[in-house]
Amino acid sequence: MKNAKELQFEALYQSHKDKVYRLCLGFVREKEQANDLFQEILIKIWRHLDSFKGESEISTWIYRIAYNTALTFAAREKKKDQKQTEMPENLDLSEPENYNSEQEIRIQMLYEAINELPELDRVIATLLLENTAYKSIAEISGISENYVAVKVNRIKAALTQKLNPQPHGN
Amino acid sequence: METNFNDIQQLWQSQKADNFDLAELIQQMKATEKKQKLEWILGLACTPLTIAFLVYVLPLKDSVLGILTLVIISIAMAWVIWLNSKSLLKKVEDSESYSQRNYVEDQLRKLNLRGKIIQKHMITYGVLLAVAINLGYLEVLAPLALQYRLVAHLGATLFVAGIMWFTLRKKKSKFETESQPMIRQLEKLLIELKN
Repeated sequence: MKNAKELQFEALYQSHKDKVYRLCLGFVREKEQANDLFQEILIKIWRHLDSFKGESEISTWIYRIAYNTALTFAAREKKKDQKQTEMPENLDLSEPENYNSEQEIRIQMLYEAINELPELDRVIATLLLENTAYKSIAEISGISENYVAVKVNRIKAALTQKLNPQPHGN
Repeated sequence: METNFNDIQQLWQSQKADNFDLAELIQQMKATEKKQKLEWILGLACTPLTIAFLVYVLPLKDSVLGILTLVIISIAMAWVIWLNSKSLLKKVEDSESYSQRNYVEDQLRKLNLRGKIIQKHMITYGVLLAVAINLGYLEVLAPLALQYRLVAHLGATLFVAGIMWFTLRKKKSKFETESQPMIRQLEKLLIELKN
């Protein structure tokens, strides 16, 4: 029979899994790495669940764990990526025809745009894309609400520009 | 077609997590928790057991030098355990009022402490260990001729120095490849968070 902690954990998993997973995709490029990061976050949530006292929103607490874990994970992975050999030019990396739907291409462009942002902007961008209030973004990141507002404008502009490339030629 | 930020939000939120075997993960985590608890208890028990072994097996407890040896070894071991526990990168993200800035500062402090342990504190630990062993030898080897005693003292000191040299070299290389890039990355982020 499941105990109270397992039931609480399962409920949290169901209510937050998609948001946490998207956060992972915003921090690492490969899907496999995203799954590893996702699992690492779940383990930390499980480990610290008993210490949650309800002094803040549980979502804020989960995001804090998730973002902090993602930061160290991304720093670790960045080092590994640098060690990997570069891909030869003119290599055909096109996906199978069915996979390359417009939606997939646009999602890929969005991940690339987020990945190109500095770490702090990446955190804010992923929170913003989840409709998180400025106050919560400030609480999670540790910067002021005003500074969040400044950053948000820049991030919105950067992402919109990336997904609306200027047409070449006429 | 022009994509506005609302479209981007919808696009982002269309991504869903893959099905994950949660029951299996919970079982694994429960097993890991049990194992970690056991390791922690064993680790804690190791220091007093070592000291108890030295007290009862070696003829050290009846002399001032012997007691001094045991005291130095106990202090050195307790100090290293305390330092290592302070540098562990865990249980820092569970606080409800813990922002990213606090987290990054704490991670940096712990990573820098790791470096300090390797560059400075482990050498002090090695010196303390060598001093303690030599003090013990002064007592234990007293009945032997001077040249044997000198060789034993020199051998023990070189042995400790050798072990420390190899250990530190390995730890230093691991620190340079794993922790230093992380330190640089986190420092960059902290500057951004402070701006």
